[in-house]
Amino acid sequence: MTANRSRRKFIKGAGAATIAGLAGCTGDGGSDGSSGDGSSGDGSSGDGTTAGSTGSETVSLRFWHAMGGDLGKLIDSMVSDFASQADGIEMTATQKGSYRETLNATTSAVQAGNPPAIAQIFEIGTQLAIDSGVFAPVEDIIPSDVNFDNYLDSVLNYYRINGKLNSMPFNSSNAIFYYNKNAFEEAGLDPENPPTTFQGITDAANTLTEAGVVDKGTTWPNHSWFVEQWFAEQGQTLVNKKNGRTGRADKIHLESEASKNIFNWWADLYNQDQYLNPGIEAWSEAQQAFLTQKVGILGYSTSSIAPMKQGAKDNGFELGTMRLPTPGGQREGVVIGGASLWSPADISEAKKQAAGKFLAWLTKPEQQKRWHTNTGYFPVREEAISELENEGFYEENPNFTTAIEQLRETKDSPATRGALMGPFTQIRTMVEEGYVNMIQNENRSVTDVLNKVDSDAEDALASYNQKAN
Amino acid sequence: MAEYTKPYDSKLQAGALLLPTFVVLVAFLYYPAVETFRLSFHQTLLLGTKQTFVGVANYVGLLTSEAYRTSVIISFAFAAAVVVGTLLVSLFVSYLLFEVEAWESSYLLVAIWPYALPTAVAATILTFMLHPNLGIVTHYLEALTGLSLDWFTSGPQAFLVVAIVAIWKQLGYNIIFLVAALNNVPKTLTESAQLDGVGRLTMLYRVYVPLISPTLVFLVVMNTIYAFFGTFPLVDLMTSGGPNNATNLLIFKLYRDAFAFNSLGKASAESVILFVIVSVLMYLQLRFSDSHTHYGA
Repeated sequence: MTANRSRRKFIKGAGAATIAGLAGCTGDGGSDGSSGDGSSGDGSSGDGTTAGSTGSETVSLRFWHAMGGDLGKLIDSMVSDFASQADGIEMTATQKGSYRETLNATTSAVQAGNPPAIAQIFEIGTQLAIDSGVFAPVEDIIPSDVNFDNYLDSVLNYYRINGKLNSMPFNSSNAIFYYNKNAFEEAGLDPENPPTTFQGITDAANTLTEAGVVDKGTTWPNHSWFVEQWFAEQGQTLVNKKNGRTGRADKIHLESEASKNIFNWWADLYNQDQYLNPGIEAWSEAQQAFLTQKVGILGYSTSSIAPMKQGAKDNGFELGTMRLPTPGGQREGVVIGGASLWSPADISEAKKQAAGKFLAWLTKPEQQKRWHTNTGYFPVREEAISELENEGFYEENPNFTTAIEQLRETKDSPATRGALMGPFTQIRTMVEEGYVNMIQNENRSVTDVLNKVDSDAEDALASYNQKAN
Repeated sequence: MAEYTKPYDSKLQAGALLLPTFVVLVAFLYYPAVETFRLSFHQTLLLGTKQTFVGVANYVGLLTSEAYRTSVIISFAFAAAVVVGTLLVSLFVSYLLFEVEAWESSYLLVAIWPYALPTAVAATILTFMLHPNLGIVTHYLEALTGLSLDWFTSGPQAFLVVAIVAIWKQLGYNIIFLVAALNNVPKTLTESAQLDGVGRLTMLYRVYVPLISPTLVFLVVMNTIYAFFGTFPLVDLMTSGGPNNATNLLIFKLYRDAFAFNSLGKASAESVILFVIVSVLMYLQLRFSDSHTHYGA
């Protein structure tokens, strides 16, 4: 009996302690289940590389990024190249997990007074990063001999806010569609002439499934990013105040005609059994479905041209790329996605200068060519593209041309500069869940769901604006 | 007896031995808990770079939010499904393990193996196995039943899938305790019941269950904690709270509000509420079981 009694007490005690523990440090929840945006590694891991001279006058820089796998290795190798040619600078690159985790880690480090000199922050965190007040505009730390005229305007325009370049564009991408040339040929479609419109995709999808070469016509991750691209192509801003660039946005345009064009088509594609729903922001599942030839067309990012080509080859088919299909072929342009590099305000002057040197070095044509050809992310410098053109790179790799052309065709307008808003991450999730809601229940009209998401998103904007002001 | 109650020579020695535990508890449990409580009265930008005191506004906002109420209801339904499901299945499996004569330890090993797998790893593997379009399990299930399954789109299906995975993951833990408890039941009771001609199922519910009820209470408590807190990785990796919030459990919602949507103050308030909910639940379970549990003698 005493044994049972004491066990009983133990249960009570253990239970209470466990609750207190779990409720108290909910922050830890992330560390054993961190999934983020496809990159791995937990917040505290230090799988970086240190390189550089070790003299007494050395400045040591830390660079936190969100690039896993081969991309991470490429960054490591570029960082060590930089350090070996720079005098008195020692540099460490560390992957801090996903984009969201990198942003959180950086802000925490700033609060703790020990921030990295450079942090990679995704494009939709731009407003949040500015509002946090912990970063200094990179324009102020870049060596004065850097001439921004040679940088791609479409890339700079995204990160230039109120006339000032806040962060250095690093990995910029946009959306393109990939297709299986062999499947196109088998189904009697012209593999050299892929569709360019929404209707064209629907028709091609039907032809592909009727010929029995794939299960479903097409897939892409259920990601608000594609929706944002389609807004831009139709010249529609996502939020008011010129996409949040002339003041804090408080209205979102999800109830616009442009938005209805997108969601009606997308929901219709699902109802016709032609869209495979891989899940919210499910990049790898979508890619998997395409590479295993369950679908013939894949919406994806330009950042994966190189690995996608290899994947297609491994699975025995030829890869084609097409520009983003649009409603009725409207082409205002695309929005730059990806991430940029930020530098905290609260670091020593020597570190600022060294960080500026690194950023200038990183965006030199030579480095940009290496980054571009190994990934598919855009170079941020014109010369990198023209040099590659002269070297015949694009003739040998026509898939890279699709992305570059799409970028060059982009007209500069508030719509294509992309939206700025504080609660962007939250609103993305709302848009993605909104789509699921549309296809979950055929009785629910697309317009009703859009109105609901629109008002929820405006609540989020209002609550953020109230906090930030 | 006096020696037994005074194992240490001095209070100082006892204190010194307690110190490391105490430091860890304060640094990693009590300090964060107090900080969470403080933050719940603030509105924050990012991870607290700008904090403004707002009183109980976060709590009022939550209690009037439809999304939060939905999350509360879903969490309770999920906990009920996981606690009941885990206990029923593990009791059944444990009884089979208890009765079996040959290969006893091999069976036991197989039954508790899933528990040794880290939850995040299990969630990742199972997501691919159960994937609506690519999953091997879904493929054969659809071929056998003729149903078209898509738990990435259907809310109830997603809820069911996550609940089943959560139950499966927790089985091993329950089985360890239940098999041990069953083995503690005096053999004489089993024999005399058998002589009286008691059937196998009646034996389980009339003889064993009352005798192992202290273990069952313990498991109900632990499973409740697990259902409310431990299932975070499953939701995070398998559904991200979707589709359309069908699996948006409180623990996942507060994580997302804090670290993905950058509202640390609101998330702290959610954390405090969750703490209160589970504490009350624990208290009720233990009070209720006091009058219904057989502690021997």
